[in-house]
Amino acid sequence: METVTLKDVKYEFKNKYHIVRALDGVSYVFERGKFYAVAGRSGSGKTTLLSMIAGLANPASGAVFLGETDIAGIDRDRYRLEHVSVIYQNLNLFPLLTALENVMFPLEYRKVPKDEARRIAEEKLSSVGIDETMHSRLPSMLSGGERQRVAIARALANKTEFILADEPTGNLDTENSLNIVLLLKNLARTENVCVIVVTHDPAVAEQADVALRIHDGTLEE
Amino acid sequence: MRYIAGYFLKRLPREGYKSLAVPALSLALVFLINLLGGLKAWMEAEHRNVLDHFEIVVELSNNSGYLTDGLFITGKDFRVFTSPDERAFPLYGYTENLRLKRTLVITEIAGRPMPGALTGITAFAALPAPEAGAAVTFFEGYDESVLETDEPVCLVGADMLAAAEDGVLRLTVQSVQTVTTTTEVRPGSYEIIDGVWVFSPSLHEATVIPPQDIGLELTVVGTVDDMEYGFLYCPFWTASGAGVLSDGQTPYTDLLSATLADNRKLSEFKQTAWRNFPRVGPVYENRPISMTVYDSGFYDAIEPLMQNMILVDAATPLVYVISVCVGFLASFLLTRRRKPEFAVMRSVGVRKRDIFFGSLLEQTALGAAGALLGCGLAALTWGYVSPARTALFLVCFMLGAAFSAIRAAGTDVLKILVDKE
Repeated sequence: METVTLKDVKYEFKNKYHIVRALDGVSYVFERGKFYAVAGRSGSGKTTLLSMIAGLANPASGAVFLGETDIAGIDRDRYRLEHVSVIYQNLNLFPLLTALENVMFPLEYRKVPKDEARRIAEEKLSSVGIDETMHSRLPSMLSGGERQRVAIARALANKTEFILADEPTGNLDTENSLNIVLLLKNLARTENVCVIVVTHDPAVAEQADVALRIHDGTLEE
Repeated sequence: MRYIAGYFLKRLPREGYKSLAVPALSLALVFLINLLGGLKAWMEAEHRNVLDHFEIVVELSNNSGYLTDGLFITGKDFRVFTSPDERAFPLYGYTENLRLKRTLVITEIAGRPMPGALTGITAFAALPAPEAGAAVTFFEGYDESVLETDEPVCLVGADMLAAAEDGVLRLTVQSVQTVTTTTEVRPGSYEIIDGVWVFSPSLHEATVIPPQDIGLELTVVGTVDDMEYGFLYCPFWTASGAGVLSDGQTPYTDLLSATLADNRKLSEFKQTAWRNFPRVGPVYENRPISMTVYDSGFYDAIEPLMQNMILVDAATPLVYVISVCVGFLASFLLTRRRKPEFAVMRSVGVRKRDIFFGSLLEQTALGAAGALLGCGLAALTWGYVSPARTALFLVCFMLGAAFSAIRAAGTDVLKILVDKE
């Protein structure tokens, strides 16, 4: 599939005080081979946007399409397993699996033979700069940047066409942030992957092929 | 699903001490369940033991002022201690070890005026002394079986031996002043009350028979320790034959004792019996026989057991309810802590049902491990393990854990992400 399209997507939720309109009629087409940055202040709806694309929540109205297919009508667990990978700022790895096991997880869940899954995982971990000595470490033994790399390696191993990253550099220092952003940018070009990064860091937005802004529930370039 | 199940089980040993809470709780609950089961089993065994082996003594005696032919009611249709009679009060259906005592008043011993009592018994066991520790010593050539004959023999206290000449004791017994009914005023009748034949004896005009003296010669065949001077035991049929008066009346008081054959029928026996025999106390018109049931010791033994069994029966379901709650709570606390982990699973594409079954399997494995240890502990300490009760515990535990597994599977990823923001 070449595109993910949002058509007039609206989403709102209630907090303790009032109704929050997180997305208010968002329409956009995200294409493979491009690196998108979505900027906006905290609470502007960035995470909600990614969750709509990932099929983790249902829009109140409007629709999300994978190619020509409305994802509301398909198996969204399978959609996430085969087409979309999500990388969060903090919520990425299984704490009791090693780096290698974390990357193997979606492959083994898809019933890829263990040896094959291991080979792919090792290859992808090396491609993101995680050397062999760190493969058997638990996430608690890895730095923030290394954990993000492992999450990216998992997305690569799973060969999904769309990678969504929610504040992937939020907890990292400047050098590591830049390394992660460049890695993602390179993926978009070399692997023909659509990378959508949500960030409030202007330096990240500068690296994007397309810089978007989300404000009051609407998306604009 | 198999992979996710394997994931949940694989992570258990890596979780370390955090996984121990659930097995520890399960161990405690299963130990408690088996402890209650063991207590119940022990109490039931004790209950059966009391029902099967406790001797409840029933005594029938003819009341003062009434003459009866032994324990045959005048009219001779209501025989209580011989062969079963379908029209009789079904004492035989309820009792065993029937023993009779017949007591005559002694007025002279060896020619000298001396008050005492001669009691005829049907069995050695009817002697009051043995269970109190007093010894009975039979002379050479005699033993307990002599009491089952009609020979003119007797047992005396050691200090009475001197009164015997050549081993033979001469006594004078006296009939009691009796009231006899001779002229029938109202005939006896049968009626069926609640399916039981009840006989109301005939009512006769009363005639008083004054006391009369009867001479007896009895061979002393043994001694009873600590028995008072003037009191003797002889075979029942010797006493019966001794006191037949010239007009055919027999001068005695009677006591029939028996033990209840089946303690489980105690209530049924008493309900039926009280219709025919009044309790010990004032004599009721037309009721010459009264009955005493010595059941207080039985109730003292059985009632605490039954009360405790009721308590155990009440506590047991409560423990299973607690098991459901513990299963839920343990699973809830564990899964609450791991919401981010379930959110990662959902975002990677793991199905809700796989998370549900994996979580349930994990909790069940923890519960089962604790249950196994609890059974081991119960076996070591109490020697009682009930596989059925343990299995029921696991079912209850799983039920509780299932509620929480549903919550785990339904983890709202967006909510977790928004809360973290």
